[in-house]
Amino acid sequence: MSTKHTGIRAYVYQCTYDSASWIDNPATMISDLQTALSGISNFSYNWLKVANVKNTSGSKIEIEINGIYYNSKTQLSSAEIDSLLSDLNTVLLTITDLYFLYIDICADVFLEDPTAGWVESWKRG
Amino acid sequence: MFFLRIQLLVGLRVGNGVRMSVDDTQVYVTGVLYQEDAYPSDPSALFKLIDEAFRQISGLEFWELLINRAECKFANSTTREQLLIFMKDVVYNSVTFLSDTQSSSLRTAIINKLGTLADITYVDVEIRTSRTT
Repeated sequence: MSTKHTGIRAYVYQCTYDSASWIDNPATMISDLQTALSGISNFSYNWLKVANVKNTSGSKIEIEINGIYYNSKTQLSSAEIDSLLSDLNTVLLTITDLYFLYIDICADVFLEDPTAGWVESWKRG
Repeated sequence: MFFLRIQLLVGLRVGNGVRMSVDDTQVYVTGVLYQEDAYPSDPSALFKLIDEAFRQISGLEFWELLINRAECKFANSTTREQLLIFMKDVVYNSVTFLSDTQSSSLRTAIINKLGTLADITYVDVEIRTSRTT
């Protein structure tokens, strides 16, 4: 059964920026991210979030890119999700001050069976 | 009781337009047990207890306080109840986007306050401070 992915968002985990695991002023990091993401063809998004997270494990930075349009679509095939993951990985690696451990792409998956409903799908790279 | 909601709006120039950004801080208390129970029969009592306690923390304001009770079923067919306390739109000492030092101070204040509540145990306190653009 074929599937379509929609409501696509990407999460970048375990980041450091300029060797720091907490960003008191994220303006430069956000600007770097916006510039890098603009390098992906046929790609746009609704909003971008940079979050500092502190818990018992210490501090870390997370990035969320929400409301992704890719190839002028909000519904993507599994192959297009793979392509998006590769593109995100490529452009984020161009930010010299940014280090990250992994990228997750999360999407709502509509099975093309009207009785099947929606489930959530994750792709990690 | 009235609470002032403050969100820092910063204009960022992108191309020919201006995108607004929003700062936000959230607090999660995970793995909560209330009277040794992850699925308390009277969540209102828990809510009242933590609401009153957190509002006693000096410099802390929050717009929303939520308790999330969930029954989680895992791949190995085991089931576990999970209880989460969640504060949204947090302002600490009039700051919405917290520095490393400020977040440590807030986390310590919350841990200290939770330590005074004999009926509550928890696993972790997580501070999340973010900028969205």
